[in-house]
Amino acid sequence: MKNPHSVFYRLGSVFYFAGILLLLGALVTGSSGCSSKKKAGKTAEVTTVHDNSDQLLKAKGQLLEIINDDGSIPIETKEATLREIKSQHFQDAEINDLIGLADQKIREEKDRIYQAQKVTPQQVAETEVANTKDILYGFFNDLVSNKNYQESEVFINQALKMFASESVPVLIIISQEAGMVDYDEPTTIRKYLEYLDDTKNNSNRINSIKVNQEGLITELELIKK
Amino acid sequence: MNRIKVLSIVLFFVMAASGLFAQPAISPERKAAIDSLALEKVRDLSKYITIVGNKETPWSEANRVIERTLELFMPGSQMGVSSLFSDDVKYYGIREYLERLMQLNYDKVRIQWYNIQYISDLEQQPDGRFVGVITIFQRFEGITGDQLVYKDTTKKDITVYVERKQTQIGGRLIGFWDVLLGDVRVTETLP
Repeated sequence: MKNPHSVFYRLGSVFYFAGILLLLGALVTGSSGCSSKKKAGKTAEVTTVHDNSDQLLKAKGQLLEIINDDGSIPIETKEATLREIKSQHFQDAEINDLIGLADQKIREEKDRIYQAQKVTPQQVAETEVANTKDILYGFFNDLVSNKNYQESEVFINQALKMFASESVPVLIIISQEAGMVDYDEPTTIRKYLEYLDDTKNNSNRINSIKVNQEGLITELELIKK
Repeated sequence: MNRIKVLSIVLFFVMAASGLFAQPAISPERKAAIDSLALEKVRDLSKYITIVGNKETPWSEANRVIERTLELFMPGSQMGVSSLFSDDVKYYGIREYLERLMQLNYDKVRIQWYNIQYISDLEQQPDGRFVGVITIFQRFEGITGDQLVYKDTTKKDITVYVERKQTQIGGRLIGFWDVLLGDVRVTETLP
């Protein structure tokens, strides 16, 4: 049974009221804190909307710069800018359209750069053919300018090493008109090299060559200068 | 009416037989290329004759060049040879002419061809071939020791035949103009 006059009963009453007071205080404090938070939250929301508007304008400007760039902005800078804009996830139709255009612009520019720099097997083959033509034409000039039989024989033998055989056909185009190609009588590479040496007449330039897997010429087509 | 029909048929066969139907039209540009090609062959011949006649040309080289020279000519073609000491013009087969040229009894032989040009343009014949005449002037000098012992200038006419042919190379059909030289006739000999 409880005694209302005992020390413990009184202490309990004091704690009871203190607890109630504390609870009330907490409620009051809690209520005011919550209100502050709501205020602060409202301010943050307004600020975000404001910042987005500025960034939207800035992003649009940057995207237009990329789209209208004439090549003065490095491709890496444009890619970094576009990445940064995309990371902001703007919910704006115009921005999305501009992002699409900027993407396309960068892709096209990169394609051009790849085309210019990237070395494909075809490009390697074309370069090799061009080099072969230059070397061969050098032998032609050597033979035309040389007057020593022994040296001519050396040039001829060196040039022949570029061919699959001495009997590789040499075609000489004398005229081309509306798909009709007229040739001189076909000859062989040995005979043509000897012809250059004999006549000193280098009146043909190299039009095309065909090479085999070993890189040796299997057909030579010349054309009158 | 029947006579007209018969005449038409006869005319058709005459034209077909004469090759008039076989002549493809050729543009001035293509014709110019053929003209130029034939002139080039004559210039090549002049270089070959100079090499063969040159006493400094090694024997093997001269024989090789003789073979190249023969390829320029129609089989059976002849070369006219004249002299200031005779009114006669002798004709030799091309090989014989070149071999005789190699063996001329001089220490040094100089042969130069110049004024190479058409005197009769290449004209297409009923059989489709082109035939023309190119004239050249040949300056000949025979030297023994330090002495120029013989010299003359000869005007020569060369008949040129050009025919369109086809051959297959690397699976492709190649249409080419085959230029062949005919007889080389002496028309004038001057000191």
